[in-house]
Amino acid sequence: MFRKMMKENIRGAACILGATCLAFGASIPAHAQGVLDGKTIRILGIGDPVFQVMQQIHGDLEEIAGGEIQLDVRPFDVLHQQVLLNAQNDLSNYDLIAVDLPQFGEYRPFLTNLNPLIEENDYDGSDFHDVAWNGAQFGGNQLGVPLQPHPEIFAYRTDVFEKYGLDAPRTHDDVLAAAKTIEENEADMSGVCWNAARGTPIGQSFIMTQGDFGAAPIDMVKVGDDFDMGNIQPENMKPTIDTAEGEATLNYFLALLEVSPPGILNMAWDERVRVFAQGGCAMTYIWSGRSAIYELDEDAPARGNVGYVSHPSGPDSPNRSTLGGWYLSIPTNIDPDRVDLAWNVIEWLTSPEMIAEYTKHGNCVAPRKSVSADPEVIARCPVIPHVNQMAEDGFLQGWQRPPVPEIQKIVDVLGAESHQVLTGDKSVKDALASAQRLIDREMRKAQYY
Amino acid sequence: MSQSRAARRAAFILISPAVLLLLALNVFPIGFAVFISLRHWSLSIVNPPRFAGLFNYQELTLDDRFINSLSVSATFVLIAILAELVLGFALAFVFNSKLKGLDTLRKLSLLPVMAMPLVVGLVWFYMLNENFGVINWFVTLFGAERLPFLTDSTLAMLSIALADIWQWTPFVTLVIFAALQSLPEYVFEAGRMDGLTEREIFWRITLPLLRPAIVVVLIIRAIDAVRMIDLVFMMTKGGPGGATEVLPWYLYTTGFQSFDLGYAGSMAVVMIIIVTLGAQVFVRQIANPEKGR
Repeated sequence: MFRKMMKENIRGAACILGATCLAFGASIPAHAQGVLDGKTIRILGIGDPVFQVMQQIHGDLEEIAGGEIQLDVRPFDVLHQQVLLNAQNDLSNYDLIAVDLPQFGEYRPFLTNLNPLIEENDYDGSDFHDVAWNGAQFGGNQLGVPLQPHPEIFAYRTDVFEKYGLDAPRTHDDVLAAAKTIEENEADMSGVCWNAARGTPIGQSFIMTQGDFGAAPIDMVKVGDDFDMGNIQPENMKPTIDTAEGEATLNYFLALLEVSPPGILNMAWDERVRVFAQGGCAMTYIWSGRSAIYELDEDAPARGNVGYVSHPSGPDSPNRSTLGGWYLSIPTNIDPDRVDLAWNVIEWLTSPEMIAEYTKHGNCVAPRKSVSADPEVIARCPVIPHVNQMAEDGFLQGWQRPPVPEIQKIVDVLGAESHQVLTGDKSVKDALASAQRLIDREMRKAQYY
Repeated sequence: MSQSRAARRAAFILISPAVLLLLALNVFPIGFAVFISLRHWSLSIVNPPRFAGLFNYQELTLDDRFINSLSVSATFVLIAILAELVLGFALAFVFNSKLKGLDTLRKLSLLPVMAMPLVVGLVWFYMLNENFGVINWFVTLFGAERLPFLTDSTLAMLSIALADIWQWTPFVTLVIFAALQSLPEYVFEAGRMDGLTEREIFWRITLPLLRPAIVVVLIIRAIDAVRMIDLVFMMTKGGPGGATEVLPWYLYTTGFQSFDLGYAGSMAVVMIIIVTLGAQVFVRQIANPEKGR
């Protein structure tokens, strides 16, 4: 411990004296200086804001860390492939991998339990919001450290809503009514942008919207208004798609289609936010971290004119937003000699200073309480206090995307079937029956029942 | 006797590297695909693969998406190949004429072939995008409504075919043009002396002489079109609905997104059978054209 402190002090002093100490570097915690010590760290990341920021400031990061950072940033589906293929290797090709919250169930056997490292290094996780820190705990094992956990929430243009005397939408009916009013009065503005592209985008929209109706995609045990995610048994794996809530979900999609912008059937994560940012629609579903797309764009009409609420709900259901987002984890097949290095880099990349730094470059997520209370961070990212409030109110949940190995298969099936309903190729009833049958087949193949 | 045995041994030694290569690169992967297809095998589940018999093949017969993907693949191949052949043929004749400036045009026309199909897909995706696309921007300049190039079932299929046609027509042109250049002039002169009109020369002399080149280009393009996945990946992800879900895309999402390797393996085997049978028809045409008539 003493040696570590001495090293930190020496690095800190060197930084003050050194000609290469950058202004950016000065805000990095002392223990981060030279964390790589000439070594190379290999990170498998996702094309989401936090890793895109790392790409932007890659040179600075390497200079501060004193080594090479091999950052492999992949789209969602490709990352999923890479993680599973890498897990088959005797030795991992990566020291750190990005894990989405619902994927912990699938990746659990391939991820290192971080508890021994946390204890050994006296790491304090209490600065993270409970919902973010606990999201990566399975059976008492911490499998990842929050880097960019954020919920899918609902954003609306406050200036447009004020103009037409509309209240913030709390239910699906509110959303549709507001969208209709706006479309009738604004020639170039559509009602709602959302993930309606085929495959993973609309598949995820389905399970999150089904959550708006208080239902999960599999037969989990209900606890109050929510579901027990920590103890999913084989008998809980039966799909619950062909249900009244499933039907309501697809009917809501069909209603949304009437108030969506052109090209909605090919619209996904980034495009929906960009269209919203440019005034193409008055409301959008959005992963909160992506709000920087317009909050940091001085030319965006949406900048400074956006209100946030959790996912609007269906009738008689509570408001719930799906918590997702990214954690840093260490694969189990990592070279044992590299585990300490990997942990040190996790500590550095998830430190309060780094989390604050990411917000300057387009990642409006603050999983640490200390960062989310920072006035400068709030000024940059107005969405952060709203998300904190939602977390405090218990609106953020993860059960909509249960952490089971078959989650991607469920999403794929729903992504294909739902899209056929939107194009008119299938009726709601046929699509639900087909999705139910296909997912049930997968569960039987996996021998859950 | 011993001489012929020595010759046989020499032959065996000489062909064995090629045979080994063939076994490693062709036979083993196909055999392994068949092996996988007879198992329940998922990478996302820790359980070891287990024998499934013909389960995956039975499932294929019940799977609407699979049947749809076969029909979408067939439609795409038909549209793309027909258009490429007609356009390629026409361009080859234009390039074969003795007009000035065609040399440069001929070279320029080959540029699309050199581009990566993924890049081609990305460029067309952005050009045809309903919100940001340059083509829709032009359309709206003339006061017309934006066209749902990638979100209407028919237009999406045509858009993907268009991107493919843009990229591969020059290849067809090149092959037909090369064949045209190699045709002996005296055959045409003889035809003219016999009193044939230009139209008759085309149908009775040019076309039959070009037949081998046409069949070769058809085989190459048809096999390529059946395997096409890049454009779908970049432009539509198989949508809208399942309108552009070609077989390779369904196979890819099953195998490498859902990681259901057994089921994807069974699709791969069916695809290999279809491509092989299709190619055989064409190959026979080349080997024995009289039989095919």
